[in-house]
Amino acid sequence: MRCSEAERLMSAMLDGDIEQSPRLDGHLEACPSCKTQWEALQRTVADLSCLSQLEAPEDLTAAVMAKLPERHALVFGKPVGFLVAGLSIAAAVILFAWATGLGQSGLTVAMGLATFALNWVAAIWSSIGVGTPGFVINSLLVSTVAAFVLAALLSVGRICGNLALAYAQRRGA
Amino acid sequence: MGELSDAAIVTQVLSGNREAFAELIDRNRRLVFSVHLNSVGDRDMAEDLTQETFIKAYRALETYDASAGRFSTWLTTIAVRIGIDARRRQKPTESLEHLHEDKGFDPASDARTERSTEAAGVGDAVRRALRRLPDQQRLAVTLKHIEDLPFSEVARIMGCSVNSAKVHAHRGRLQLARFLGYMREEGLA
Repeated sequence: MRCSEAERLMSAMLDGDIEQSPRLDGHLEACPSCKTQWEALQRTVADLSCLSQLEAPEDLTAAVMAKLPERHALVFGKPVGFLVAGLSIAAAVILFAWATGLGQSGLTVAMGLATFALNWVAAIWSSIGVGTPGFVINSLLVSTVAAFVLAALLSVGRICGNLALAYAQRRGA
Repeated sequence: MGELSDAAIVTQVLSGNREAFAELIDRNRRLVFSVHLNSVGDRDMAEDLTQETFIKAYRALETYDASAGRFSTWLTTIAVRIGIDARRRQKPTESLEHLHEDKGFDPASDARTERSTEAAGVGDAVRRALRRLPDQQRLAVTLKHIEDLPFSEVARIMGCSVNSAKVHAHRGRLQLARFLGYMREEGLA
């Protein structure tokens, strides 16, 4: 038996694939180098098993529980959350179009559809991944809120503008 | 709660029972802490990383798929990613010569962590040697020989095939035996 074959058998034994090998035993008796390596490997594995006696700090559970975020924050991590966010943004875009009188614009409609589609892509991504990237959640939240605020401001601006125009026309008249 | 599976507890947490997550921490904290301590060597840092792992797991809990594997496997995958990022932030010290200069491990704090002082002495040397291994080798050796996980679980956590996990464990054992032999010769172990 070659030393490389002996090393393969040593590894198989330490992996638990085989329990014993008479061929390896015979080689170890004839090869001091492999015997030394085998003893060192066995000692290493025995040393590693000492580390399994490790204990985690007792107060770790309480420390983590005290830092857990509120559950409602996780709603936007679910595909349903993305759907809600997507619909909200689409509604905000439509509101924006209504408030600014751009409802007929194909660009505005395209923006709404693109936003909706992007949110569905994010939803599918989150459902197949291990974790939901925080920036996706944050960007959706921020974009939704920002879209609503913008639409509201524009609505108020449009109403104020119309009132000012009516007042000016009345004074002019 | 003791008889419920981890997957059943996850369902409870997702249904709004926030306190049930404490049971998941109790069941898995030793494994996560072990992965981090063997990776970074510093007990306080390992504790911080363990907390970070559980908080990240809580945030992403709805993405856990019980049909894809055990909760502990999913959790350890998160721990491994966090541990790799943490090690990248640490100064690399890979050579044998650096074993003489290692200041990152505190035997006194190790003694608090191990059940016996004898185990603490061995644990000190082995853990210092472990930290010299490349990430994949250290992880394979830790999960197989310290946590006693089957190679199927080790491979799932590492995101590789069973054969690759065995190769990493094999190379890690050889390196570790070399490091520990050197440390014994130099009186460092």
